[in-house]
Amino acid sequence: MSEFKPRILAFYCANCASSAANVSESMSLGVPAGVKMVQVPCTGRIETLHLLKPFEEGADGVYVAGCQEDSCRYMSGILKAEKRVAQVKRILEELDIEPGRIETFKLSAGKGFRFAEIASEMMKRVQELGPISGG
Amino acid sequence: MNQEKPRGKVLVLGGGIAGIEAAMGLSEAGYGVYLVERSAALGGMMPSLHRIYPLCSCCKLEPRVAACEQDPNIQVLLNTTVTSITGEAGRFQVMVKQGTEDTALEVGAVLIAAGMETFDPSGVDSYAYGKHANVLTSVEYEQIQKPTGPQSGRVKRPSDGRPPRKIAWLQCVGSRDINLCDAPYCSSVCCMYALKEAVNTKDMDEEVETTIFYMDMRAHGKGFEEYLNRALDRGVRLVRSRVHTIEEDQDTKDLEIVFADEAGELQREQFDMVVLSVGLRPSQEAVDLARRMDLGITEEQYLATLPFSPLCTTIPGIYVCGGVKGPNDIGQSVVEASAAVAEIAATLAPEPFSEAPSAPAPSSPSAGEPAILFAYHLCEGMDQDLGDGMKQYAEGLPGVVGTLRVDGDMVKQISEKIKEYGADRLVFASCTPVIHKNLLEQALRAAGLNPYLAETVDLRALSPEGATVQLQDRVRMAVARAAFLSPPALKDVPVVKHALVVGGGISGMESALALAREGYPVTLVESEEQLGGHGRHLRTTWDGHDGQAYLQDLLSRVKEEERITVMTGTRVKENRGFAGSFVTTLDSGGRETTLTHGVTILATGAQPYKPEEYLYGSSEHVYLWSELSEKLIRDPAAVYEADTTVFIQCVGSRGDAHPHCSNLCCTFAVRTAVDLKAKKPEMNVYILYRDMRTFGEREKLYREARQKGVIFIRYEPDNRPQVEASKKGTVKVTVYEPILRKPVVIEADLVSLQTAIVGTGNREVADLFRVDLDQQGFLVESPEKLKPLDTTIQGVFMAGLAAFPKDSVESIAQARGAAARALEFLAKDSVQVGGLKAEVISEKCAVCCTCVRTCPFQVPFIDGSRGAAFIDPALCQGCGMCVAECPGKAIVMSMCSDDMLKGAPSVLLDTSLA
Repeated sequence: MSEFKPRILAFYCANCASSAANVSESMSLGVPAGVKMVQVPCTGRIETLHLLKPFEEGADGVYVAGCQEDSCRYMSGILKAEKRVAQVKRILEELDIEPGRIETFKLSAGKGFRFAEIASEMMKRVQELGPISGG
Repeated sequence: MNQEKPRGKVLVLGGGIAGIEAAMGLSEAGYGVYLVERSAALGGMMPSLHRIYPLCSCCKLEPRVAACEQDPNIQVLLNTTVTSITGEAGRFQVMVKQGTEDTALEVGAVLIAAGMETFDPSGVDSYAYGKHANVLTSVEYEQIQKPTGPQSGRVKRPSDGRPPRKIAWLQCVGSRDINLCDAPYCSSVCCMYALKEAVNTKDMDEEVETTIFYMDMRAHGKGFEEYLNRALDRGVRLVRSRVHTIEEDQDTKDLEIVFADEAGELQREQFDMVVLSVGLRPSQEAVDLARRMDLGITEEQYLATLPFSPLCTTIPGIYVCGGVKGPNDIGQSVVEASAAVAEIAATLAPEPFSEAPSAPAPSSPSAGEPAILFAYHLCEGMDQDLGDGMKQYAEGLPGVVGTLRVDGDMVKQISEKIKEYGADRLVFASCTPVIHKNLLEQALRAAGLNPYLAETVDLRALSPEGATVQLQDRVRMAVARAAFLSPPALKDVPVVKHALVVGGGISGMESALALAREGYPVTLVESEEQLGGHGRHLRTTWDGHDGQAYLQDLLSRVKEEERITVMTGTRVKENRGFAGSFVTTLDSGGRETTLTHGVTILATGAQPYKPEEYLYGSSEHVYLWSELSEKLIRDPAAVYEADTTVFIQCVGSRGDAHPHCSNLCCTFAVRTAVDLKAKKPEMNVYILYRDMRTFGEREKLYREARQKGVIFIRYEPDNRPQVEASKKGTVKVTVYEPILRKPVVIEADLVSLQTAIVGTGNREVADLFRVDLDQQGFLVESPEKLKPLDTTIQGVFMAGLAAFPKDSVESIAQARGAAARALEFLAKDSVQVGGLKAEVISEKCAVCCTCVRTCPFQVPFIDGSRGAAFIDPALCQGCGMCVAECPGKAIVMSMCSDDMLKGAPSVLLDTSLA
C-alpha cells in the first residue's frame, strides 16, 4: 500500500471540545479528515469495550483526549480513561498489535490549540505504524 | 424596600443592539417594554457590519430581533420617534409619533439607547469623498464586503469595476482633530474595524495589499491586541503618519496619498482604492431630544452621566446606554444594556403587559423508529454549497424525515417543521451550535418534545483538505446519536434565592449592592482582611472624580446593607452544583462554612505585573503605577518634590509574556501627568509610550497634557528606554527620540512603570468554579457569544478586572450588568434539570456501592426504600463515570448511552455511507 490513509477514532470530552473549537476557529486550525470524533461528557464515561470496538470496526488507531487531572471538572475522569487505555494496550499486545495505536492525551484548560495538534500527532504516529497486520 | 418602589413599564428608545439587549433583559425581569425605533427595522448599526472581531457574532442579532418581536412583554414600535418626555421618575409620559399619529405612553422609566451615527466626510476637501470615485467610507466598504450585499462580497472599484489590488485605510476621519468638521475625541472602534476590514479583505484574496495609515493603533480591548498581531502576521501593513491629501489620476482614477511620515517628511504612494475609517457621532435626534429636556450633555455632545453611575443621566428615572453616551463597541454596549436593567430595577418595580406563557408538558416520543428533523443554519458568508451538500447528504441517512434551512426565527421555524414532519428528534448544524442551544431547547419544548432530544453538528474546525468527508462524518454521527437518544427524565429544582460574590474590590461590592437592593441576600467573600481591592489606590477617575471619596461611600453602603454578609479573610474551598443551586464551601482561616446559592459573580480582580527590569525594587525612585497612585493619595507632598517625572508605558505588556494591552495605563499616565503639571507647572513630565491609547473621550486628556507641556516620546519595542542609577543619586532614563533621531537622556527623580495587568491569580478560583480562562488568565465569556458578562458556566457571571483590565467606571458598569444577569436567574422560581444525567435501574442494582465510591461529587446513595442506589438528577453532574464503572450495568445515561458508544465506530468508519 503506497498511500496509507489511517482512520482514527477519537473520544474527547465536552470540555476540551468547546475550548478547542473556539481556539481553532480563531487560529484556523483543523483536525485531519481521517480522525473521526466521538464526544463524551467526560472521558471517565469510556469503557474498555468502547475502546476496543473501533479496532474491530477497522480503525487503525484510537485515542482519548481529556482534561489534565488538575483541571478536570469531574476531578478524576481522565485517570479512569488512562487506566482503561493501559488495559487496552495490554490486550493489543497480546493480539500482536502495536500498543502505540491507542493513547491518552491531556489538555490543560485554555490550551485548545493542542486539540488539533494531538490529532495530527496521532495521525503521524499511526501513519508510521502502517495498517494493522497482526491479530 | 420593594413596596416603596413605584411600579411601571419601561420605554427603551433605540432598537440597536443596546436597546434590544436592554429590552430583553427588562422583559426577563418582568417589565413591559416599549421598544421604540425610528427606522423600519430593529438591529441598528449591526446589520450593516460585515463580521465582528475578534469572534464574529453577527448571527446573534437575528435571534434577538425575533425574540423581541415575539415577546408578549415587548411592544416593538417601528418608524416611531419620541417627541417629548414629561413627568418624573416612576411617572413619565412619553409622546411618540408614528407617521402622523401621536400617542402618549405611560411609563415608569426611560432608557435612551439611541445609538450613534457615523461621520459624513462629504464636502471635506482633504478626504475627497464624493469627489474621487474610488474613495469610500468604511461603512460602504463593509456593505460591499458582505456576501449578501449588492456585489455578493466581491470588492470592486466604483470607477471601473476592477477588483482593487492595493487598498488604503485612513484612520481618524472625523476624529481626534479640532478642525471645523472633526470631533476632538477618539471614536474608539475605528482601529479595530479597519484591521477587521483589512483581514476580511485578505480572507477573500490573500494577494490584495492592505495598508492602514494611522496615528496610534488603539487595540485596547479584550482580545484586540492579539487580533492586531494576527493581522500583522497576515501581512496587513501599518503606516504611522499624518495624511495630507488624496489625489486622483484623471485617466486611471487611481489614487495617490500624500502623507507625512513619522519624521515629518512628505511621502507619496499609489492605491487603487481608499477607505475612510469614519468616526462616530451620537444620534443627533436623541441629542436634540436631550437638549429639549434639559438633560446633561458632555462637551463632546454625548449624553452625560453621573460620576460613578455610568448609566444614570442627570434626570432621575432616565437612563442611558450604548453609543449615545460615548463611542462604544458592541461588547461594551451589551454590558451597559444589562447594567441599565439593574439601575432601572433599583428604582422601579416591574409592571408587565402580560404574564409569561407556559410551554406544554413534553410528551414522550412514540415507540418505534426515530424520526429526525435535520436543520441547519449558515452564517452570512458561508458557502451555499456547503448547506446544499449537507442537506442532500442528510436526506439519504436512515431516520431523517425532513430537512430545514433555518433563516430568521429559529424557534418558530424548527417547532413548526417538527410538527409538520412528525419528527421526534432534532439534529442541528451551525457554526458554534452551542450558541443556539437555548433556542433549540425552546423549539423542542414548543413542539411538545423533551428539550434534550437534540444533537448538534459544529461546522467549525474543518480541515481544508477533507472538509466534505469531515462534514459528512459529523452529520452521520449526529444523526446516529440522535437515533440512540431516549428522553431523559426532567425535574424542577427550586432556585436558591441567594447570591455569592467572590472578590471584595469595587466590582464585587457594586455587584453585591445591586443584588441586595433587589431584596436578595448576598455573601461577599474577600481573601484579604479588608474590602476595597485595587480601589484603595484609585486616586481619581479619568475624568477627575475623587476615587477615595467614592470608595469610602461604597464601603459604608456595603456595611449598612443588612442583606450583604461580608466575609473577609475567606477563600473558596470547593464548589459544586449547578445554576440555581450551587453549594460552596468557604474557608475563613481554617473555619469552614457551607453556603447554598443560586448564582455566583466572580470579581476576583487582577494583579499588576512586577517587573525585574528598569531598576524596579532596587531604586527608591522607581514606582509601580499602583504604588505611585497610592503615594499620591497618602503622601502627595513627597511626589511633588520631584523636578522630573518619567512614565514608562507598556512594561511587560504587548510582548511575548503578556501579549494583551492593559487598556487603562495610557489614560492613567496621562491623567496623573496632567494633575502633576496642574499642581507644579515647572515639573518636567515625560511619557514614554508605544501607541497612545487614550481612547474615546479620554483623548481630551491627551490633548490637555500636551497643552500643559507634558513631553511624549514614542519608543519601539526593540529599542526600549534604559533606566540606570545616576551619580546624583536619582535615575537616568535614556530613550531614542524618533523625531530628533537620537537618544535623549533624562535625569529623573521619579519613574512610574505602567506594567501589564495580568490575571494570573484567577487560576485557582477558575478551576473551582470550572470556568475557562484565556491565555492571560482572564475569564472567558460564554461560548454563546455576545454575552460579555456570562462565563463559560451557566449561572456564573464576571465583573471587573477578572474579565479584562478596564477602568473603575467601566468596572462599575460591568458589575451592575453582571448583577442584572444574575437577577434574571434569581427571579426564576425553579430551574429544570435533566438531560445529561445518570440514572439507576433499580431492578438491576446489586447495591454494591461502586457508584457511591466512584462519584467525584458523592451524589449516589443507597436508598433503602428502593433497595437500590439513587442518583438525584438535580445533583448529578453528568460525567458518566458511574455508568462506566457499574459492574451490573445498572446505571444508564440516555444522552450518552452504551449503544451509542458501541455503535459509533461502525457509523463513523462505514465507508459505504461516506
